[in-house]
This record gives sequence, structure tokens and C-alpha cells, in this order.
Amino acid sequence: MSAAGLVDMALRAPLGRSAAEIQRRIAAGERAGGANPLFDASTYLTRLAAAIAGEPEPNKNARILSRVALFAWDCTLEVCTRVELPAADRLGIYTAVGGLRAHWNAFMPALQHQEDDLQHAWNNGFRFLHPFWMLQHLSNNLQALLAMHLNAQGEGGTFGGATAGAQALAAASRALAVGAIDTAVVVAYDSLVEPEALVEMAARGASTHAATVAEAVSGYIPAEAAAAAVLRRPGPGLSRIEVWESADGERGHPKPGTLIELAQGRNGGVTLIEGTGLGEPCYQPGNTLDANGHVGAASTLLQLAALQERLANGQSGLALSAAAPGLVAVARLDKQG
Amino acid sequence: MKDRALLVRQCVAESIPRPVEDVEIDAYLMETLGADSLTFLDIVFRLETEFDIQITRGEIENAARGDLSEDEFAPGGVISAAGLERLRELMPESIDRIVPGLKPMGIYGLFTPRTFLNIVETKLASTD
Repeated sequence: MSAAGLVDMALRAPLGRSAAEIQRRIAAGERAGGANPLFDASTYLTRLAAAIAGEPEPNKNARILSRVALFAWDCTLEVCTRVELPAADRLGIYTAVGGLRAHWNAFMPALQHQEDDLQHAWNNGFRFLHPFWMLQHLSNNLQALLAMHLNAQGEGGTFGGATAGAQALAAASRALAVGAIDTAVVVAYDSLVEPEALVEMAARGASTHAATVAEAVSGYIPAEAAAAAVLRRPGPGLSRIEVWESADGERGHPKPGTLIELAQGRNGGVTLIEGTGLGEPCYQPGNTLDANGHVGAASTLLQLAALQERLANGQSGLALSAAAPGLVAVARLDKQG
Repeated sequence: MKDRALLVRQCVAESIPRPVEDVEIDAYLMETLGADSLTFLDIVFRLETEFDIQITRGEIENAARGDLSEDEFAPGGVISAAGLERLRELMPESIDRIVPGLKPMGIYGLFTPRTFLNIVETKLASTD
């Protein structure tokens, strides 16, 4: 697998808007889970959640992008103002989005008063379906809009699924290694704090019944996060990252052996491991994903930000994550600069 | 009764998006407030939902054309004198900009929040 140099990062997570803030709050014993702050989840099996505090910056793209995608936009612009970007054809955008789901909050007004034979369907609710409904569900919206805004014409792509962040990092690293681009902006975002996501997780048995945050819970806390990273080819002063991902075909969480096999041989000299991300009932103090909640496609970037913050120069760390269906990812960071 | 002008300004403000204080009733949506064609779709949707009305797409142009054919309304792609006269009746708030040389696509540039307020009030009056 190709390595890349980590130039800078920005993020938005339940426990803060910088890696330093997040690690400070984790060290103080904070966990982000609590009553769902985004909607009334009292009738759901999964009632706990963790959300990013506050709202995204006002943005014309709010008509197309979701709340967490807007946070991803904010992250990207934040980090890109701090780095020098190359010419258009040497800059690539790689985006990682969570599972592509139809958003129930958009559908419900349109469907809840329909008659069985759909007579008068328009007046009974379809007139409440936003004209942009279809546009809003396109998975590559963020990549397209960022590419226009940043004038990025180099190779890029959009990846989907729970380990999409790792996939995007790996693809960007390959493109840098072969010289297709000189700078990659990798942006990941996901929200599991959506009605349809909570129902899906409950159906898979990944639910929590706790009414309050407890030290050990059965399952994991659904959360949301966004992160952006700027990568170049490895070089002096840049932390080196390598990312591997795999799958074992399981419909639920992957077999533990799948993650072990992927991590084997890649942990030489590692002084810090960022959690298993397996959602098992064994909360690990200090684990970024356990403290913030599980954030699907944004996991690997969030973990890399934690490693970059926590490691000293010359130290190395490993980030492990796993999610349904049968997906695993391993990222190694060798700290420099 | 809620202030309809304020509700219209709020719908426009949420679509752009801009603070409602920045959305003056006679500000040109495209030139002053930065709206584009997608914004217009969103504004119409919000107004339809807020006021429980239906606004037909292109109805300003259709109303201006009336029984004029497309060639009579905009020969060679430029709105005729007759078309301009009818637009001035429909959109008095933008009368200064309804001048010879105006093209059908330029009608969007004439829109202000007051244009939408007039549409809303006309629709509501027809259902009262």
C-alpha cells in the first residue's frame, strides 16, 4: 500500500472542533453520548446519540448538502486556508460518505397521509416533497461542489460505506504515489444520528437500551462527525500515513480475525493504538471513537487526527476500525513535525 | 394575522441563505441578494408550503404572454413592446428595468421579494 504525507487536518466531532480540544475533553473523562439532541428518539430502540454541537456555517449549498456534509465543507475550507494548494490539475478531491440512505424526514410528510390506492397522491403529500429531493441524495454532491469551489481538476473520487474514509485515504495515497496529483484533499463525513440509520442498527442488534450514559453499554453510541485532511507525497516534516482496508463478507460486524490479519505485521514500533472500533461492550478510556461515538465513514480520519495530536515526534500509532457489513480498516501514522 | 411580507422575506432569506434583516422587500433577488435559478425553485417551494398555494413554474412569463404566441411575445428572442407593456402591469415594482432589449430569461432578474409577495397575495385572494 502507498504511503502519504499528512500536511494538515480539520474536524468537527461531538467532543470538539479540533484534535486538541477532543483529546483534552477525553482526558478529562468526557464521553459524548446522551439523549438524542437532533430529534425525539423516545420511541426508538436506540435512544442514545452524540452530535456535533452547534450548526454549520451559513452556506448556499445547504439546499443540496446535509447538515454533516456542511460540517465537512467547513472542515475542508478551514484546512485549505492553511495550506498552499497546487494548480487545478494537480489537486484531487476524495470524499467519503456514509451509507446512501433515503432520508425519512424528507419522505414522511409526503407519505404519511397517502391513501391506499394513492388517489390524490399529489395533494395528499407529494407536493411537500422538496424539488431538490433527488439532488440531495446524490452521494458525490460534496465532491462536485468542493471541486468547483477549490478549482480541483485532478483525479479524485467518492467512496461510500462505513470504511469509506480509509478507502478514500488509500486511493488518494495511490494517486500521489504514481504522480497523478501533487496534493489530495480527503474529506469524510457520516451521521448515524438519523431515523433510518437507527432503525437499521437496531435491526442488526447494535442497539443500546441505556437511558443514561453508562461506563459500559451494550452496543455503541451512534454519532456524527466530519473531517478533512490534506495529503502530499511523504517528505521531511510530514507525518507519514499508510492505510489498509479489507472485508470478509459478514453481514454484520466482521470476524475479529479479519482485523487482526489486516493489522498483523503493521504494528512494528507502535506506541499507541486508537481503539478497535468494534463496538463491543468494553469501553476503552481514551479511545476516540468510544468517547465521541461511532461515526462510520469519518472514523479513520478522526482516529488519525487523534494520533497526530497524541504522539510525539518519532512515535508511531495504529488506528483500527471495523463496521458492518464485514468491513475493517487499519491506518498507521508515523509522527513527524 | 402574520405579516405576509415578513413571511415572504423569511422564505427568501432561508433559501439564499441570508439573515432576514438583509432581505429588503424591494431588493433584486439575483443582482443584490445573490440568488440563482435553484434558489428560485427553493423559494417557490417554501412559499407554497408556507401559504398552502401552488405557483406554476414560469407563470409570470405565461401571464405576460397571455394569448400572444411565443413569436409575438419575444420575436428573435427579445420581448416585444406588447410583452414589455404587460410585464410592466404584472411587475410594477421592477418597472425601471422593463426596457427594450429585455429577453425572456431576463425576467428572473426583475424578481424581488415584493414580486413573490404580490404572487402570494393574488393566489390567496383567489381562494378567499
